[in-house]
Amino acid sequence: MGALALSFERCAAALSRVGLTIDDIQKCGGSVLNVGAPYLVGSLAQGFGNRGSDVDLHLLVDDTPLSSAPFLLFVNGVTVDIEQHPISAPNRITSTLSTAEVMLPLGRIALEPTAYANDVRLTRWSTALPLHDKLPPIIEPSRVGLVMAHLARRALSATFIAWAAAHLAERAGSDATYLWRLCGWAILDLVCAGSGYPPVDRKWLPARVSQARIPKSIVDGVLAVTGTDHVREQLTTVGLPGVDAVALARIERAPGLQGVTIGTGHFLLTPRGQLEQTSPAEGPVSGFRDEMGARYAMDCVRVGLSCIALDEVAVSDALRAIGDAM
Amino acid sequence: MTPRPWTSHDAVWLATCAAPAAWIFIHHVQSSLEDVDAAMANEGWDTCVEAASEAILAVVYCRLVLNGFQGSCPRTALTLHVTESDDDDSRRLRSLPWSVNIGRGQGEQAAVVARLAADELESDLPFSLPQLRSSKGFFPSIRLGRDIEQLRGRLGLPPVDWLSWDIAT
Repeated sequence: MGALALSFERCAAALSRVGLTIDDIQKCGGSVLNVGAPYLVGSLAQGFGNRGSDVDLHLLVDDTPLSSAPFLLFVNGVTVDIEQHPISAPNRITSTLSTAEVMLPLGRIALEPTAYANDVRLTRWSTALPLHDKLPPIIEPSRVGLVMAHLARRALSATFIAWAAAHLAERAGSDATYLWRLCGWAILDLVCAGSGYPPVDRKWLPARVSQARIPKSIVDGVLAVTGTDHVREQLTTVGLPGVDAVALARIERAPGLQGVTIGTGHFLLTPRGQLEQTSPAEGPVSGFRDEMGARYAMDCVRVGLSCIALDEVAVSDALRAIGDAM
Repeated sequence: MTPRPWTSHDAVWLATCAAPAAWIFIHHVQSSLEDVDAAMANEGWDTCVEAASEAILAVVYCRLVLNGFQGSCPRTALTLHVTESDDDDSRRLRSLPWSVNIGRGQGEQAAVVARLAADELESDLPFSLPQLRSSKGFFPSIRLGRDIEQLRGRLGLPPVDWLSWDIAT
């Protein structure tokens, strides 16, 4: 069976998980689906989903200048969520991705972060299944690996941000158990992404771990993460030795702050509609060493005066160094 | 004649805080609770805990919005809030187990906790909410949005940018 026919078969199998057929979708969608090339995307297309899942469809349309807001159909009690996108968008967006990457035990990881922020869309297009047996993949198979490398890089960045946040909270004297758990969650997400199982709705992480056949030793190690040393150890286990988010992360002034004077009072108006009288924390995360400093930085991030950002050049250098040492 | 219970709301609060909180509730809390139910029906206890966790995190965000928080909330800021806060929902979220390798008991318990958090929040919202992602509830949800826009117009407020209310990654 050819690749196109195989994808079409997988689409039919995915829809059967919610009790629908391709024919059901086409009959109910009618002319709505005729305006473009329809693809099944999202958790069902990625091999997940259950009887309660929505059906997510993307229609690639010739003369749509911009992506549309989603709209809903209801087919035999199943919610069908449809978005339209310009047919040129996937090629246009993926052609901007840097081809510099490094091959690590974890998988392919991009050496330059992409400016395109919509991971969900990139994932969906890379894993889409056609509703017709003649439709080509949305993203050319030769480019899917590159997209996966960028999704893995994004997952790595999310891991470092989670690590830096947990570190700050711990330094500030807070009970950071919940944040370390999120850090462990991010490591599993990274390992799945590196293994070619890109992000999908967060609730499917355990299923992704299972589908990607992540070794039990790694899962057990991540479950036990309760501090920086554990994180470092787990990242070494998955092939990222010597990386340190605390050295790679910075506290930066959050975008969109506006100075406001009321009488003799000076405030900063945050995009969240709050007036704050404190100056935003700024500087390397490693510089907020004592409890008071760490609490100040953490509170600034919490209320929106500051944010945690990565030195992406340093992250790339660290990845190159690991690749060179292999 | 039994008098109806006296109910009053600050109209500006309703239009600027409760309306977006309701939107977040419909989009994030309701849909995550549907995921919880579907996972339970499928005996996917790990998925159930993850969906419960997402539901409660969205409840925390809704509570912030009810108290005046505007617009999108970065996930990192929200998780730091959960770490630091002593409110019921943050405590509930922190108490959920890791989703990997768990069984029915913990999955069902997570579902109960998420449902409780959502029910308490819904009772604090000033209007009842239809189920958006259903054939029965979809159009009533649209009408609710229209009614809120009309109220905002009367109060001299601009239209809501509904899509700007989200938990940002």
